[in-house]
Amino acid sequence: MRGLFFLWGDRHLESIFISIAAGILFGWLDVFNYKTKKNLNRLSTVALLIMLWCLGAKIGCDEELLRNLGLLGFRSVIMAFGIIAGSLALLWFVTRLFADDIRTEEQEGKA
Amino acid sequence: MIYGIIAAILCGMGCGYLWLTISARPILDEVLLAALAFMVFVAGIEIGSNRHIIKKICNPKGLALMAAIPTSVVIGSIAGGGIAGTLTGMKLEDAVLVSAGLGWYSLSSVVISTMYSVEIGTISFLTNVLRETLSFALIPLVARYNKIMSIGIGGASTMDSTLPVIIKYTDLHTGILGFVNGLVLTLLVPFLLSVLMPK
Repeated sequence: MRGLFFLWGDRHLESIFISIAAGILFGWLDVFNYKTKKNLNRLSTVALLIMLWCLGAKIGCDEELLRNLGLLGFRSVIMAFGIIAGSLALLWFVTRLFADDIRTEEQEGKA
Repeated sequence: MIYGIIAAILCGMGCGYLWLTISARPILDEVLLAALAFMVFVAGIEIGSNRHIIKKICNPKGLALMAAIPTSVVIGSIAGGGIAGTLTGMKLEDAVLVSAGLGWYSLSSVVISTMYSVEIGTISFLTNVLRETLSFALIPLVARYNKIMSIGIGGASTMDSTLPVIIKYTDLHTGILGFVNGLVLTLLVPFLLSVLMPK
């Protein structure tokens, strides 16, 4: 398994897998009470904002990237929207295909 | 929350531009990873403490949906990106290659730059960074209309950075589908890049 993770090393899959596995285990064993979970959720929102700030800072501090942003940015923006639109279009068909199942699940969730 | 998301990214870009140099990158990566690990841990707690959802997903229809989502994201990304890229004057094979990064910018840009062309590698980096960044803003909007469709926006990032956003704006069931989608796509990217790489 170590060798497999190494291939995707720069995505830090190991720490992601360990974190999510630990989270699922802790949740399954019901380690945290309701109040702690609520606080953890708030902290997770803070973590999200910190993460996004860092993501922005990584782009902002890279002058070479910022220069390229103007040069190749146009193509990239069009492509990013095209890619997202394509994914959404096909997923729309999938949701039609599975419409009945999704609806029953949502109703069960509400009940 | 969506304004907070956009404000955090813009504020980061401004601060990075004004006060940070490229040497700050390793530190930013460390903080990014720590914050991400914590968010995924909290997402895991929510998944684990709702066992009935895990049981509900493990049936033939649920598994079929689990396979259908990444399949349509791959086909949709490559078709949509291929069309959009050719419209801007790129070669179709280049546009398809960029789309095959599926949002995983660090891998696809390095692989394309070193094995094929630096220019296409840069476009791949920008396109896939934009895909991930746009996801944070678009997931809450699309989720209001259709939960399953919000999974497709992030591509491979739905297993880590955009997973907490999906769970926040949809529900746990969709979150688990998102995680599986991101995992399958992440495993597919190296394979797709090597198959689609122009000789």
